[in-house]
Amino acid sequence: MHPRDKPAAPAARLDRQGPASIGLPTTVRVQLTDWLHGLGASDDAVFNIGLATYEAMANAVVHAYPFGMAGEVEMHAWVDEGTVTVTVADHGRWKPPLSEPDPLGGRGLVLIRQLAEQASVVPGEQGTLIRMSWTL
Amino acid sequence: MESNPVSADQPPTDVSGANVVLEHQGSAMVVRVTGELDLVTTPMLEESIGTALGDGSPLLVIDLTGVTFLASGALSALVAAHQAGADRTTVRIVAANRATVLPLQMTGLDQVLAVFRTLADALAAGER
Repeated sequence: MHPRDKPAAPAARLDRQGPASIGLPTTVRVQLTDWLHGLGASDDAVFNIGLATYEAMANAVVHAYPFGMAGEVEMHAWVDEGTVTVTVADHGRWKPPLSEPDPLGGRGLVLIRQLAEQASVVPGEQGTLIRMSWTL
Repeated sequence: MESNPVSADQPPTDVSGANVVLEHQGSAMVVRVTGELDLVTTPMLEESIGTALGDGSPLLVIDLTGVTFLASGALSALVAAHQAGADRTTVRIVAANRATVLPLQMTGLDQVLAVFRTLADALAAGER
């Protein structure tokens, strides 16, 4: 059976990746919010998850790849036993602004921490991973 | 698990974008924004704010009533407007819905910026 002939059950996960650009966070956010509506998420949950994921991706685009540097940004979202987890990963070297506050990055991370029920930022040699989760 | 690549080369068709209009209301300047304020559209807001501040009006109202999405870059543009206005131009923000009020509250900027619920309130509060 062709995949398109299957009944329209919402997929348990959504995976997107693409070259860093200022339009990428919005494109992915629109796809993510459509996916969340398909799961039956509340408007509040869709707002919180959509904005937090946008900010995580914007951080990757602006800080990991400044001045239009080329690089990939990945977003993975999945639902498991009523919990939605979203990860955003880049392969650049932006510093989470913990010791040196940056007006843009700082405010983005403030939003992420307020919007997500759980959030972690893990900087590494291969890039930065932001992981967030919500109970639906 | 396969990831679907997103092309960044083609203009996204599912993005609603934003519209920014600059107008005079008495002695005040009003920057009226509708749509989504993200990394793509925030420069339009910044440009209009720059034009409005250059006008030298005593009051600039940035009306976000019609904004459906507000990201941190736009918050930074609002703070920059407030700072650039300094003693010369009073900058006020109109925010009436969840998409704009919540980011302002969550970052504490509702305590830093002068935020009003309606354009009429922002204009009626007088010029200082």
